[in-house]
Amino acid sequence: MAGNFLEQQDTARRTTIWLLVYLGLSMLALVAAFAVLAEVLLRLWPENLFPSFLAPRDAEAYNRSLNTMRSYGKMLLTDDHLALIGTVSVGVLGVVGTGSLIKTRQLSSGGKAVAEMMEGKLVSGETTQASERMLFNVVEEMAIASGVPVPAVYVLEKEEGINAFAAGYSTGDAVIAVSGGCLKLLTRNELQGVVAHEFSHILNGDMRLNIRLIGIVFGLVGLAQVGYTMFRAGLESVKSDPSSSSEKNEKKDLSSFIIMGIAGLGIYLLGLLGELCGRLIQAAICRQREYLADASAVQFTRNPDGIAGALKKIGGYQASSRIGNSHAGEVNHLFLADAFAGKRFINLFATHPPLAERIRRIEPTFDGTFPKVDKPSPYTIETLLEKSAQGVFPNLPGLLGKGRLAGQPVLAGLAATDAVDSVGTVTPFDFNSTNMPKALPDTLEQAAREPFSARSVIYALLLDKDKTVRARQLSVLRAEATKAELTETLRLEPLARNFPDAWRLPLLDLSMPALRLMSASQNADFCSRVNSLVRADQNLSLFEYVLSCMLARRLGREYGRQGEAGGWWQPSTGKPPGMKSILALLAWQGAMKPDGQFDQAMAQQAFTVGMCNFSQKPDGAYTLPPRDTVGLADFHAAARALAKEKLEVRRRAMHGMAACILEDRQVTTREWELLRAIGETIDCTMPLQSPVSTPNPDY
Amino acid sequence: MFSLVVIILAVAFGLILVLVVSLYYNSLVVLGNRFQNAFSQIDVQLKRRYALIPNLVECVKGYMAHEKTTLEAVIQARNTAQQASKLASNQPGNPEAMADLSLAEGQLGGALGRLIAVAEGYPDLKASQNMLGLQEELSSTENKVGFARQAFNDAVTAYNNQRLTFPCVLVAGLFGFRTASLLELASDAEREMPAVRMT
Repeated sequence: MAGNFLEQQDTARRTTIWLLVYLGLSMLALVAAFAVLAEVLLRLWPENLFPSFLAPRDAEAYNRSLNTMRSYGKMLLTDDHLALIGTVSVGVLGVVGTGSLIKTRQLSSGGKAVAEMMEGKLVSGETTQASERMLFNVVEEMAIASGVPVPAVYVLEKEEGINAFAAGYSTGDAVIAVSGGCLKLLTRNELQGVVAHEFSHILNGDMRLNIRLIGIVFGLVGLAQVGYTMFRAGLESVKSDPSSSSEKNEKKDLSSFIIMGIAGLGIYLLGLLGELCGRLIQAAICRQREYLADASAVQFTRNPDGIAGALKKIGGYQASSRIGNSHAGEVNHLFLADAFAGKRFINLFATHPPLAERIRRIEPTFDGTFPKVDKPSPYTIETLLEKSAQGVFPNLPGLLGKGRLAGQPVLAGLAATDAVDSVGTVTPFDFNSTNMPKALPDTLEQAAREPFSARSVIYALLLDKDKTVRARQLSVLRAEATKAELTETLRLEPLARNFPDAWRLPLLDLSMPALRLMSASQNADFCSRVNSLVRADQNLSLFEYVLSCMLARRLGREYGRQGEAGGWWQPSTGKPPGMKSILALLAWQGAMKPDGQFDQAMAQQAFTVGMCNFSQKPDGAYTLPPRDTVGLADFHAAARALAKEKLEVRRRAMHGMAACILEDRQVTTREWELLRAIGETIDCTMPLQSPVSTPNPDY
Repeated sequence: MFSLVVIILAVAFGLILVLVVSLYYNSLVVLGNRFQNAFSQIDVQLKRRYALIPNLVECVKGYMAHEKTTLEAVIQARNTAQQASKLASNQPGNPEAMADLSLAEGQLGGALGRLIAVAEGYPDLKASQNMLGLQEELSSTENKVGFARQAFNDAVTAYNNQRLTFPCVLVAGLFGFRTASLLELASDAEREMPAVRMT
């Protein structure tokens, strides 16, 4: 299959040459048409006519010009037509040439100008962002494969569509830009195909060819413009009051204006026709160059699946190859695929061949169906929950872990009201965190206080205790993280592995100030890696869930921010519908016995106490929902709904939850983490350290 | 009546103008503060590195007494870099300060690279726990500098972008907000070059 790319390149090149010949022929035809127009007009032209508005002030000079004109007109009308054709050629080509020179100059300001116009961000060779790093490497590889110097690389971050362009007048000032959609959705091979395609444009001088073609088209537009101006001027003069011109010349003048109008109309129509031909041929050449570049992409990469895969993704992607930038129209011909995909109806003017046809030339067996490509989902807790709901934890047993112990008690005999009354208050104890950091291994604590290593602390905490899962997570990290990041994580990993669960949240708290020092792009990188680590085992553990909630609240927008707590415009019902799901989950969680069995009566009791505390009715009767209907997804949805309630309601809810948890007189790490997650979500964070009164036995 | 309308419109226009100007002014101040804070992160790590170097020299001295010039070059470069970083931390984003710091850091990196390369020739030194610990510390500090520098450059870019966009550029000109410059340091790969050549 990969064998025929040379043949295809050949075809595309030959077709281009033919199209250029057609362009030349149509220019010749245009000149001929103009010659005919000129001859007809000259024969119609009255003998003594020279428009007086062109006349110099003195009569002698006027007569002299008139004589010159007359003799020139006679000369043009001689039998061999040579003078006529020469004049017309010089006139037409002069106007077209000037127009194209102006436009060419504008367009050849270099690739950098185009990239900046499209709001591209320059990718430096030092970049540490994984996707940009990959792009840069791919560009370097393709530079070697095609023998073109490495161009400047830009990313059009705002563009969601899959597209790319190469711009520049020569290989020296060439740039390559790819859209954000490209980086997010394409695999490395596909990206390589796309970049190779663009390199072919650079190597084959397509940018220059295109600029010249556009110049010619623009020149023809200029010609039409000249004709139109003449036509309008003639029309206006005929319409306007003739008495203003001198008596003697009145009649002649009028006819001269009519003639000028006709000439203008003729030039206008011929110019339009020329422009039409020019555009058609330019578009046809563009399409041939796309085929050529596709074939060259296969040549450079020796892998037809790369560019074909990218084109298929464009076809199956809802945002397709569209580019939102308002300047996209000016440089559409430079793009990998149509920047206005789906918005154009006339194929003859399309600068890009249909996707299916392009793919078929690379991969003849292609059946024309594009597999659907989903939008890259931003990292939110909802998407995580959605993923896990299908598989591993449809309901509570999954959440509780594969028969693991329910965690160690961290709090015994604390009255519910104590914990909740401290919501939103700051006691001196909170700031006296000396009891906590001392308990942390020194290096982890140090690392958590510095942005670079704080990221690795989080990664290390996320690494699963299960060996196979950890191996998968590490390979994910190896692929996505930078070398320095990975080394740091591996350094901290043994410490984190022996880290007691009860202290994980305090450590997270400790690292938050450092994490907040990251720049927006570092933040985005960090969050995407956390996301990959969390997703590596297709199972959202409780700790991962709590961590996600905390990051969402603390690191904000980049992380897929959750709804803010209660706005004044939202009516408060006072009875959040999901309170039952929250309390049921807490109750079942608390009723889990060390052997993995559940104590239904205890769960029912805790649930009732929780509901009573929440609704402030001491003797209400509530039925606990069965265990298999309770899940983290409902819990989270309910928490989100609760977040919109007024502070008073939220505090009551916290009361209910604390009462529910404390019904059995002990709080396990898991219960505490759940409470913490919901506190983060509904903006009622509790001081974390104070309830940790009994030292953890395994610590 | 008419003049009243004109006055009201003029006042309204004036108020809106003041509001817009103050919004842009504030955005510049916020972004400016942000990159200055980001620089202090670099500064913390640089200071740490400057503090580590005398330890390193002290540790190495006993083994390689006759490599005096190399050691002196490191100390010299370290002092220059420390000076440059002091100046730079007073005015982060200032083009000259950034260029000076970048140059001094580059030289320090080079001198350190040579020192490490020379140290390769002393097996006892290479195996010493102290030396290993220091090298580890140095390279981890290097990573942290790199990360903090990336954050700083991102913040400077955000500030510059805001400063150069249309209505804001007028406000920036009015209140004398200058374009800040990035801190470019020689990449780690370049720095490790001499060591590779020696071994």
